[in-house]
Amino acid sequence: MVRIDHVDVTVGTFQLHDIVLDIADREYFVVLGPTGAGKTVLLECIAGLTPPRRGRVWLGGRDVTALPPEQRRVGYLPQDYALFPHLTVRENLAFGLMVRGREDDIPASVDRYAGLLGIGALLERLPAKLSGGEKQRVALGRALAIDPEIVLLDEPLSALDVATRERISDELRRIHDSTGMTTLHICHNFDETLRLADRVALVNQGRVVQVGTPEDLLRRPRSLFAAEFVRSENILRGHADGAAGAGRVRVGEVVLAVAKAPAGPVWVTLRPDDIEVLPPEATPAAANAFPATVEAVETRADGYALHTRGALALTAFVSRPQARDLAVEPGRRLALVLPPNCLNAFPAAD
Amino acid sequence: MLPRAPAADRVFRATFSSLLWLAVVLIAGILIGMAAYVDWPGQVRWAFSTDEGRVFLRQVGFSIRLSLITSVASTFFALLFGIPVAYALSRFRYPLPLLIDTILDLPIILPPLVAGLALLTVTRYWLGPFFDALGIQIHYTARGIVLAQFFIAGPFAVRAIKAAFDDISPRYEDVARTLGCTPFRAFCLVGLPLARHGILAGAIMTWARAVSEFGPILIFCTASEKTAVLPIRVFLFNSAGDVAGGVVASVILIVLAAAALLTFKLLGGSRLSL
Repeated sequence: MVRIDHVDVTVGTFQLHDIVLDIADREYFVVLGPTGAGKTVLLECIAGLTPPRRGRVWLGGRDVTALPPEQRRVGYLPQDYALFPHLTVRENLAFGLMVRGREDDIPASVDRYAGLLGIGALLERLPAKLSGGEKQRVALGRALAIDPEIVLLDEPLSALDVATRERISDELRRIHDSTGMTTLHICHNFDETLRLADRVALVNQGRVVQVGTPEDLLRRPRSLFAAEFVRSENILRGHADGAAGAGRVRVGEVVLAVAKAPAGPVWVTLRPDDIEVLPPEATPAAANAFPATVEAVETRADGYALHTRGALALTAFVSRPQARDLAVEPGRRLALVLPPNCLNAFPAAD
Repeated sequence: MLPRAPAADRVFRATFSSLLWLAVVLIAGILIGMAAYVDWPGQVRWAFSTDEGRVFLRQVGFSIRLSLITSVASTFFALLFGIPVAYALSRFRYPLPLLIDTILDLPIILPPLVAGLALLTVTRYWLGPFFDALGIQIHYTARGIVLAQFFIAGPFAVRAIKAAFDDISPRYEDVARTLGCTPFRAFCLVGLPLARHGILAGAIMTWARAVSEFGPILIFCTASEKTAVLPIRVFLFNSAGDVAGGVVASVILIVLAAAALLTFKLLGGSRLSL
């Protein structure tokens, strides 16, 4: 178990504020945030490379705040993996045990991780002769050989092209599942987070903004920053009247039925693919049904985004077969249904 | 057929290239011109067949030996100090970095005579009683040559080796730390081996610098028979009107310098600033 307990870190002009995270054993935990949010500083703090100004770091029930990196048992993979270029794959894998004076354990450990990671054929090679995926596996093996409390991955996929990234992220998850390594992975890509994470912490400007499952973050962002980061696309300013949880939010001229909303000024978010798109004549009696006119059709990888106007300016999503059935094109009239339980409301800050 | 470059491009290229060739020819011409002053077969015959010639051979031989011994010793000390200093400069942050940098580079930039005078003043007058008590004399001796070379070559080594460490991402040492290394072990097992080419290149240039040191030695150790490293020997021959002797010693120095430079460049050290 890893616990980051109210940690502040200052590096140059950069600051992390009051970071609180609990990462369970065997969990795949992603720290997500834009470039410059302080993700790498957080990793360096857990690894012991950058001391916190305040707060404690716990690894496996041990307070390691005052310990140097060599006494922490943390597996650290920097973005470029930093395999020792003057050592062979075998020597890289053996490095941790070698410096710990556990020479006798080296052959068994090298065998074990070479087998597990499928790098047995590469043992006598130098890192310069490896592909990106091979380097990552060797770096993982080198980190796992010291039996770390946690493996820290610093943007391991961001330097790769899209096809390789998907293959290697699947492989990361497979290695995680087969070794049970507790993993903290930092990245700035939400798709990557969805593929990999058990839980995710969203960070911005040195602060943790939201913690939860990726699904949670996707469907229930709780701040404007989170909603924009996960690309909710439909972000509406409104006002929830009456008692908390009353479920009615006024947006401009429209009153929306919302499953749950705090009283007062709110933001309401809705993903384009949660909007039901129907032919205009099929206007149902359901709540939150509006006529709308297509203004623009945007091609996406798996369908089309429809930018519409009507009582509300909304972006809806249709699959390709659906788009053919509805004959979507600019000027086309449609009916949109916004399911109340898909509408996510949170208090507006001001 | 390839299309020809526009006339203006060709004129530009031809003008700049001809200046490049002029520079190469000038430098090579001046050095070869000096070497051609000596009637080499005659000089060799004279050296092996006459008494004066044999004295000349002994003097040059002694100078080569003294130059090699002192320069290797001073390079050794320069590395011993220079590697940790360069690593600290490259990896740690200090207050007033510009001031530290300037002081470390000062011996390289100083007029060589000033460096020699500074060494002489400090060892002879301020520390004189201390060295007298130990029964050691530094100034005006061959020992002083090592100190004089070290004073200039040391900062030179620091600068070259710092560039080697700057080229290596500190991430390697960070990872080594997480794998169980103390900072010193991370330096020994990772930083040092990764910088080895840069350090070797720096060592060669440091040595070349030490071999060609003249000014500080002249002031600090004087130009005498027992302190006659090759550059001092050139000076002695030349002062005595033996131009041919000076040229012979000079050609030896040119060969040493060229060999060092070539090795340095083959090691990929051309990116290091001198």
